[in-house]
Amino acid sequence: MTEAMAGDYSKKLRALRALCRAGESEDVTVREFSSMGRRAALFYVDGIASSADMDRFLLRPLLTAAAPEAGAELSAHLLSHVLPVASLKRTDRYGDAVARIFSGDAALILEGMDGALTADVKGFVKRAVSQPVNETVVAGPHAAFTESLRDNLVLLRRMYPSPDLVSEEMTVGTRVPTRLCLLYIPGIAREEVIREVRRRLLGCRADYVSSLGMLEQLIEDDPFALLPQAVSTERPDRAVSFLCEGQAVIVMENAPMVLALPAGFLHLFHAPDDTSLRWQYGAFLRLLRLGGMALALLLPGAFLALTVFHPEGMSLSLLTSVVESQARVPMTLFASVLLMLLVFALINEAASRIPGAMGASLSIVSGLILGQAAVEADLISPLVLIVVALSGLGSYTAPAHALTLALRIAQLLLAVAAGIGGYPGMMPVLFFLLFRAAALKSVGFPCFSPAGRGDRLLRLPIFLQRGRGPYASPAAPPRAAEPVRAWRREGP
Amino acid sequence: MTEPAASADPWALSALHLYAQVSVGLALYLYGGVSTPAWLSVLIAAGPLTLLALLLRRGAARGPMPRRLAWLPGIACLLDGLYAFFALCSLLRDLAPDLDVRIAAPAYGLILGVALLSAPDRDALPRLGRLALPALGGLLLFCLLCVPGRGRFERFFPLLGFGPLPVLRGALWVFGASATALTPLLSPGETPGKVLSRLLPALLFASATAAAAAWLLPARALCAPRTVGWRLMLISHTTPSVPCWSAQAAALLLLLMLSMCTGVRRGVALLTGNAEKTGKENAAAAVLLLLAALFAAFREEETKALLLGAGPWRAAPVTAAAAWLCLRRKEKE
Repeated sequence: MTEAMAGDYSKKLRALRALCRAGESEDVTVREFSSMGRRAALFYVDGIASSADMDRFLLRPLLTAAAPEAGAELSAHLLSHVLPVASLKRTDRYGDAVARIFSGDAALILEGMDGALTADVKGFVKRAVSQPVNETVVAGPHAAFTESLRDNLVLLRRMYPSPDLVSEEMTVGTRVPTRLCLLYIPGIAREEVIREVRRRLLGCRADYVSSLGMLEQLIEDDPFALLPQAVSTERPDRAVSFLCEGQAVIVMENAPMVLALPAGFLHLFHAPDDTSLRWQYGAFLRLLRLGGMALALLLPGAFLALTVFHPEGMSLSLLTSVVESQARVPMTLFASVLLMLLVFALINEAASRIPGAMGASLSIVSGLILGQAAVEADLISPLVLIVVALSGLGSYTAPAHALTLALRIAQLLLAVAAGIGGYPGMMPVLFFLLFRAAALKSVGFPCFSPAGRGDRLLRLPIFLQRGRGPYASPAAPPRAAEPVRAWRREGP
Repeated sequence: MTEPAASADPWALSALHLYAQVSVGLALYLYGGVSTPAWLSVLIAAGPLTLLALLLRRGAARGPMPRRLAWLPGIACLLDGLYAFFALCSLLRDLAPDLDVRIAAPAYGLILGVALLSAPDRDALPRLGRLALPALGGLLLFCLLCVPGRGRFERFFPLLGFGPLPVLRGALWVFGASATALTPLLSPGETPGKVLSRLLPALLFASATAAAAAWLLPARALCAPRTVGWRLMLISHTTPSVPCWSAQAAALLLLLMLSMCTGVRRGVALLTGNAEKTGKENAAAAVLLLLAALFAAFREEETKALLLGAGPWRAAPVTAAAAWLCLRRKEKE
C-alpha cells in the first residue's frame, strides 16, 4: 500500500482497481473516460462521494478541457486551469490514494500524469449539529459535536476564531486508517506535552481504532488505573476552554466527542456550566457534588462497618432501629448491602441499554417491584435501601460518566472490605485507592496537580481566575489582565 | 516532564505526620504516669523546634548531607514509622477486639508496601499528603466540634498535674515527635518558606485535640492505664455521636497509615541518600514496612519498651545531624 504510483496509466489503473477491489465491491466505482485526448479514470465510492459534485466539478470540466500547452506539466495544468475544486491534492502513494477514496474523495488518474489527483467531493449522509445528550446544561451554549470531523473542526473554529488554534491532521489504525486532528494553542500548551501526545498517537499500532474511547485507552499513561487520565466532552465550548487551559484536544472522525489531555481530577469534577453560572451558585453546586461523591464512595462501607463491626460507634436509638429492621430479613446485612448495590448497578446498566420508550417501565420495575415490594416482603431492610439509594444518588452527581463508574467500583470494593473487617478492613483499601490516585499521571503530569491560579475545586469569582491551569506553559500569558473589571461604578 | 509547581508538597505530608506523631507521643508517654498539659508542652517544644528548623535550613542549603551522616535522621524516621505502627496495632485492638492483630498488622504492612511499590515516583506520597491534609484536618476538626461544652475552665490549666519537670519531660516528647517532620529540609533545594505555615497549624491542632480531651475528662483521667488506641479515640469516647466516632476512627486509621509510610519512606530515602532509582527505595520501604508490622504485632511488649525508651530522645539524631551540618559550614568558611 505504501508503494509509489509509478509506471504507465494501465499499470496504475490495474493496481488501483485491485487495491480498491473494484470488481468485488459494488459501490466502488471506476469511471473511465477520455480527456484532452488521453485516457483517464475516476475512482470513487458511490454514496460517500457526491455524484452531483463530481459531475459538476470533475467530469464536466475534464471532458471539455483543452489540451495543455506543449511542455506544461499535466497535473499543474489541471490544478490551475481545469478543475474548479478547492480541495485538490496530489498523491504519489497507492495507500494514500486508496485511503482518500474510501474517505469520500474521488481519485483521478490520467495518462501521462504522474501519481494521482484527489478531489474532496464528500457527500455522505451525516447528522446535523444537535443538543448535547450527556452534558446538558442550564446555562451555556447548546451545540454538541457530531460524527463528522470536519463539522467538529468548524464548531471549534467558530468558538475560537483565531489563527492561534493549530490543527495537525494524522491517521490512526494500521489497516483501517481513521482521520483525527490534534488541536492546541502554541504558547499556551506546553511543547513537551504536544510532542508527547503526537508521539503516542503516531505510536498506536491497532489495526482499527473504532472510537475515541479506544484511542484513549491506547494513549493513556496507566491502563490499569481506576480513574481515567483524559477527559472527553461533547461540547465545543468546553473543548475550547480546555484548549485555553493549555491542553491538547483530539478530534476524531466518527466520534461525537473530543478528548482533552493532560487531564486531572478537577476536569472530571467540574461541570460544563460551572463557569456560566454566577460564582456563588457554582461554588454551592460544587460543594453539593463533592458531598454527593463522598456519599457515593463511603456511605455503604461506613454503614456496614458501623452496624456489623462497631456498634459502639452508634447511638442506641439508631442501633435499635437497625437491629429491628434487620431482624425480619433472612439475609445478613453484608449480603443485603452487596445485593442492593449490585441490583442498583444492574438497573443502571439496563437503563442505559433500554430503548427510550421503555424507560417508564424500567422505573416502575426498579422503583416499585424491586424497592417497595422487596421491603414489604422483608427481603431487604428499609435502612439498607435508603443507604444504597443515597449512595447511588451521590454517584450521579459526578459530571463525568467515567468518574461515576470509577466511584461505583471503588464503592463496591470498600463495601466488601468493610463487610469483611469493618473500619480496619475498609481504611487500607481506601488508602490504597487514594495512593494509586495520587500516583496517577496524565501525559506525565500528576492527575491531582493543584489548580494553581486556574479553576479550583470550589468556584471562585471569575475575576479572581486570572491564571491558567497547571498544564499550561509557564510562559503562557495570563487569561486576563489585572484588573479584570477595569471599569468604575459611576452614577447613582 | 516537568511537574507543575507545588504538585508534590512534602510539608503537607509533614503536617499530617507531625499531627499523628504528636498524638501518638502524647498517648504513649502517659504510660509513664507523667502528667503534663499537652498545650504547654507544645509551646515549650516550639522554641527548640524553630531552632532545629533554622539549623537544618542553614546546614542543608549549602550542600547535600553526607551519606555517612544521613543514617542519624534516617533512623529517627524509621522509628517514627514504628511508633505509628505500634499505635495502629493498639487502635485496631481497640476498634475490633475480635480481630487478630498478628494477621491484621502484616496485612496492613503488605497493602502499604504494595501501594508504595505501585507508585513509580517519589512524589506520590507527598502528593497524597497534600490531598489528605484538608480532608483529614476537616474530619478531625469536625470531631472537636462534636465535643459537648460541658468542660470546666479550671480543668484546662491544671490538666493532669503541675511541676516544671513533668512539663519539660512532656515537651521533650513533643520535640522528639516533631523533629523528623522537619527532615524535608535536608533535601537540597527544598524551600523552607512553607515550614511554619504548614507545621504550626498541625502542632496547634494536635495541641488543641489534647487540650479538648483534657477539657472533657476528669483530672488525671489520662493517667489511667488505658491503651494507646483508647487514648487516641478519646474524643469519641466522650461524645455519643455516630458521625464523630466514624470520622475519628477513619481519620485516625488513615493518618497512622500515612505516618507509617512517611516515616519509613523518608527513613529509607535518607539511608540510601535519595538514590536515583525510586523503585529500589520503594522496595526497601515495602520490606521495612512489613518487618515493622511483624515486629509491632508479634513483639508488642518489646516494641512498647523500645518506643517508651526512645521516645524522649527521638529528636537527638536529627539535631545532631543538623548541628554537624552547621559546624561543617563554619569549618569551610
